[in-house]
Amino acid sequence: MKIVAADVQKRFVLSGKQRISSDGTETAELQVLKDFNLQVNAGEFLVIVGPSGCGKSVFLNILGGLAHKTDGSVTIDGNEVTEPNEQLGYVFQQYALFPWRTALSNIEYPLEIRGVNAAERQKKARDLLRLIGLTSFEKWRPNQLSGGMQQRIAIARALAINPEVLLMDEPFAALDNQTRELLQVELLRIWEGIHNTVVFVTHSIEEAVFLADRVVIMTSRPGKVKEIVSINIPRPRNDYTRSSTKFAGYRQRVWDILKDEVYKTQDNMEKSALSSQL
Amino acid sequence: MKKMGAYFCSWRAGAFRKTRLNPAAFLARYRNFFSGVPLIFFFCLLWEILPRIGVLNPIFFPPFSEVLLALGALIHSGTLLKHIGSSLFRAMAGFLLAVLAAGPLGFLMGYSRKFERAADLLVQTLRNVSQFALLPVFIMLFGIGEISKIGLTFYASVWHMLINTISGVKNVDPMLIRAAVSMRTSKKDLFWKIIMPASFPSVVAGMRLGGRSAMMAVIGAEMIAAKSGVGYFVQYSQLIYHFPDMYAGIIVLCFLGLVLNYFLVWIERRATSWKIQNEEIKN
Repeated sequence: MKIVAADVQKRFVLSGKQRISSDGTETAELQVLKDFNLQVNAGEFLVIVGPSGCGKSVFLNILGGLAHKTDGSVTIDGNEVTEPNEQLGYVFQQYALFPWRTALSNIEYPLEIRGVNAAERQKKARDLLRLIGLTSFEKWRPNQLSGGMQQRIAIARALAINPEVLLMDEPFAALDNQTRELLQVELLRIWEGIHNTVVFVTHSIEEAVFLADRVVIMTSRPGKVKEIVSINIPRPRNDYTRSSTKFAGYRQRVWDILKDEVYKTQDNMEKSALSSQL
Repeated sequence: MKKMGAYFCSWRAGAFRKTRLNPAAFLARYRNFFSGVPLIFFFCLLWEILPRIGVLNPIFFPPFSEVLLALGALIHSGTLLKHIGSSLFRAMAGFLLAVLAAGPLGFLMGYSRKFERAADLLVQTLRNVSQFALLPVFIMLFGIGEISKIGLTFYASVWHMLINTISGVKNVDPMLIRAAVSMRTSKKDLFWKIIMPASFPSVVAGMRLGGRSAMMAVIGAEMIAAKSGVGYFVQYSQLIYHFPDMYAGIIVLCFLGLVLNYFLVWIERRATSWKIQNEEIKN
């Protein structure tokens, strides 16, 4: 499915103490996205990186139908997004599994609310458990599992409806480094089997370069697209990809584009910290 | 309710795997209980000795053995069982009515901000009125029969459950709601499949508190206005100077309270097993 975002604006109305803006002046509104334009092609793995607070997750929320834009247009296959799309899978940083459900029935959930019968949805859920390598954990509950296992299940849950679009909001940010690299490889392995459209938000440049067809670099707040870098590293990618010179080159390039924005964000944070002390 | 039953069972299945216990494991599992036994024994010993050596007046404080004998006789004659039966009946009736009232009302108040804002002050006001202060009102309205005591028990336990249900619904992790909404969960499914199970542990905790209060209220009400029940029996025994019987009644109350509390804790642990970490469950 093709995604088009045109001139998207997102402003939050501030109240009380929040009224100090990042440069120390008082404002009633916080502009998070400003003239945000982006096209995502069908079947593309797109990764958005940007300094913290740049609005990358906000854009994902708008695209997922979980937040409203202030102005502009976001369409999926030509249809304006006003609520979560039927063809959409969403993976959150905090896993957001239902703790009272077992691994299996968590994966069944999106099928269950769509009225799929028990036998069929269990079969689908078991297939997905096999795909993520957690077959023997089907009866386990989320709080009995490690973070990496929980996120695998959350990904399986998002995939249960065979979504044409998969949105991932810093899904590996809460995991330790080794688990994160493992899951990146696994995600690519799974994605290469289905090749749907993925919009993936992260603050890790390595992760972005490793996963993406294209990396979108955002400016500091108010966020918009600063530059898009196509990553021409052949697939399937694996652990050796990370040590290739090509990979290092892309990583450096993305960082060169991003670092000014990160410094700007840092400066603003210092300024606002100083001004709030006055 | 069928749906809730299914959740309940599925919670049990995963968390508490049945293991065969050898004696050592049995001791280890109930270590807390067994390590408390010596002190209880010491307490009973003091109770036995102090009246016998004259430190306490044996008329008002009969030795523990005499109380046990009285207890045995009362159980044997069936008197006590009759009183226990009527106390339990009142407590259960009031408690169940409170569950029926607090459940739906609590979910409604937790779910709708408007409704909660409108009702909160009334709830806070009413729940801070001691149930015993209302006993004269209940007697005036319903007479001295069962209904006034059941009403009082209801009043004593309903607030815990209402407050806990409301806070359970309000404190459902917003992340879970976002996840559910992102999957296009309908309003109806959101209530039955997310909010209900997510708030259930809090509801059950409210039931535990409510159950305790119901028991306490029944005893109090029986002491003031009743012709049966353990509370009445204790009060009556004191009036007619049957002190061993009075203490036997108190021991029964203590025992009932303990059993009720452990039972409710047991229910709560099962209902909330998905919140307990793996290591805890394995012990």
